[in-house]
Amino acid sequence: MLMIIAEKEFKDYITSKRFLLIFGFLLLISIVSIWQGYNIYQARLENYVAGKTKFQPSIFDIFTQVRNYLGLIGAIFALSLGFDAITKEREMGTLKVLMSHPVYKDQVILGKFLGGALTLGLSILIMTLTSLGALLILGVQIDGESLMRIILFMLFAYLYLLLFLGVGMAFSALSKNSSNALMYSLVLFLILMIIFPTIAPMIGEHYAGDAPQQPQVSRKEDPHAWELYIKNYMKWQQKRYGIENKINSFSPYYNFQQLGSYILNPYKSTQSNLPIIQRVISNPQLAQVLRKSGIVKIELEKYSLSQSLSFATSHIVLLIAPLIMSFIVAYVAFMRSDMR
Amino acid sequence: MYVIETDKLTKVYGDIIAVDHIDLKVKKNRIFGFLGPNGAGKTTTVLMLLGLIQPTEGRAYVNNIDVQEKPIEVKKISGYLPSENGLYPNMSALDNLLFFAKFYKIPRNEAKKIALDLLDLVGLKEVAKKKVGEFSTGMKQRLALAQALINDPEILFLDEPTSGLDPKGAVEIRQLIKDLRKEGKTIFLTSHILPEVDEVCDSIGIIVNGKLVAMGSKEELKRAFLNEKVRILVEIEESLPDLSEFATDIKLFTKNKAMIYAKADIRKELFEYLNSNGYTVLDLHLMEPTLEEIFLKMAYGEEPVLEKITEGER
Repeated sequence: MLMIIAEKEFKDYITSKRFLLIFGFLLLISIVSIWQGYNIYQARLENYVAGKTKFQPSIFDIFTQVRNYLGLIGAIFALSLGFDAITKEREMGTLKVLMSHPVYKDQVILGKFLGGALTLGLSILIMTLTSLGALLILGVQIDGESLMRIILFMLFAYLYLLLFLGVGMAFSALSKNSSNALMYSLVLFLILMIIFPTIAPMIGEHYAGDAPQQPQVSRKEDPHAWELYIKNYMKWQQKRYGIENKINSFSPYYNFQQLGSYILNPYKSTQSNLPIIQRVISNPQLAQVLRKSGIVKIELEKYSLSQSLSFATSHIVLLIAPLIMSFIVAYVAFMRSDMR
Repeated sequence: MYVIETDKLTKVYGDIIAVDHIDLKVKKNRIFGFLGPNGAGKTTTVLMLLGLIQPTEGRAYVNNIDVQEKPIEVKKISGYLPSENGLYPNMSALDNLLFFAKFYKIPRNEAKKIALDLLDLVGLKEVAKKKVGEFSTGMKQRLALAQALINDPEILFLDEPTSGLDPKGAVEIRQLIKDLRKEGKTIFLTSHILPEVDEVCDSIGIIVNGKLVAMGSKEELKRAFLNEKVRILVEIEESLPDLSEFATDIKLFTKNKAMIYAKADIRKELFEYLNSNGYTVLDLHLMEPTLEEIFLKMAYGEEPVLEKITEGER
């Protein structure tokens, strides 16, 4: 019974105009992003070959934009599949008819989950194959580990989309009608994509207090004052980003972005803390001091895939936990609802 | 032997009692009309009988199967036509039926044959491959009836089967319902269209504000009604004499024709009186109450008459 419903849902999804439109857009924007990423990759490769930089370009350079767009449009795509999965059937009266046949209630909701999951699975598969095809056409050399990183990233992208499918279905199970479910989904989307990234740095800055004042004298004149300043500055930055990251970790979008960075970028680790280094480097005077003092390690080490995964563990957990939660909420809400 | 039986079946939503301790009894191979105004609790009752809604209190039995304990078994022998047809508009008529047939594990070829036969029965074979979204309301309703018959059910629950249909469509559906009864099916039909129930149903239950206020065969209901108020049309050749001793009320149409209201059937006494006094009786007959009158009386009348009319059914 479960498979009968899942099969119907899958067919309904992949033949719907909504799916074709949003997925088509997502695919198109991914291809354009890969093209943009490829240009960045090529420029960095030329610099690396010419010895201008020690950093070898990675697939991360190509997939950064894909990760960003997938995080935004992918979430809309998955929400659009889930938000009216139940309310639409209620509104059309088809749920009552379906339930009047010998089928258990849980088979209906699980069949719908499965149908949606299969649809997202197919979408991610198409996106992965398209991305790899684009890299082949562009002549990018992909080694085994980079291929594994891409596949793993797409797998986590799938989990990320499943999370939003679950959220959409939970709203659908809890709402009286599709317009309400759509409204709740949009509000949540805006909170995650706009409110969180806006509020988190503000709270971080507020909590960390004022930044330490830069010494008014040069380092030669007072090296001790500069050393103290750098230490305090780093401490301040760590406090600020610590709070910011903690707030952001409630957002699946942030966790997916971080997860994507760790998996796609072999140079990223939890120790490197790129935002802090970038801030310091953006201050030329500080950068000069840092290069000499060695207080902050700027040279990046290349990590293995298993190491990258271990760095991403907390983000993986924070992505999977709400995914399970959303499915449980949708399941319980549907099971408790009456077929009125 | 009852095919449908409920024992104090109750459904409460918050402060609202949608269905209030109803005891339904429907015999096999009957068309049972479940009458009531909008929001009376008809659909809620049907959904509880199908196991789609859990009762707050009481039990329901369909073909002696406890609906709460074995809802799937009940669904296997039931068909359901909701008032809003409940079909998938993006699928063809045939695909809709084939989809629902899958739940009964009917082999694909057999299911296709059954589906086409049903489409033929409801007059939609020509448009079997047309999408339901392009169908008229009447066509959708006929297809919904075919959907309810996909498992060749013993019991059919039809919720407002002719709502939204034009007169021709309604006549066709009513005829189909009568034909299905001839095939031996028991039909539980909810409606607020009184002439429809009067035409199609053998027995009737009246529900008002969640309470079952009357139940019985049409004849039993009429008999019960006549016990309360009798109307006799009398016409004689001459001018009517004073008949007030027989009547509770008299409505004079012409000088020789009137409607007599009495508490019992007094035709015999009236005829004897008129005859013995030399009047020539042209017409003297009992005016049968219409279902509308019975419904209005039962639904909105002050005194409950349930006990009187369920005796016969028992």
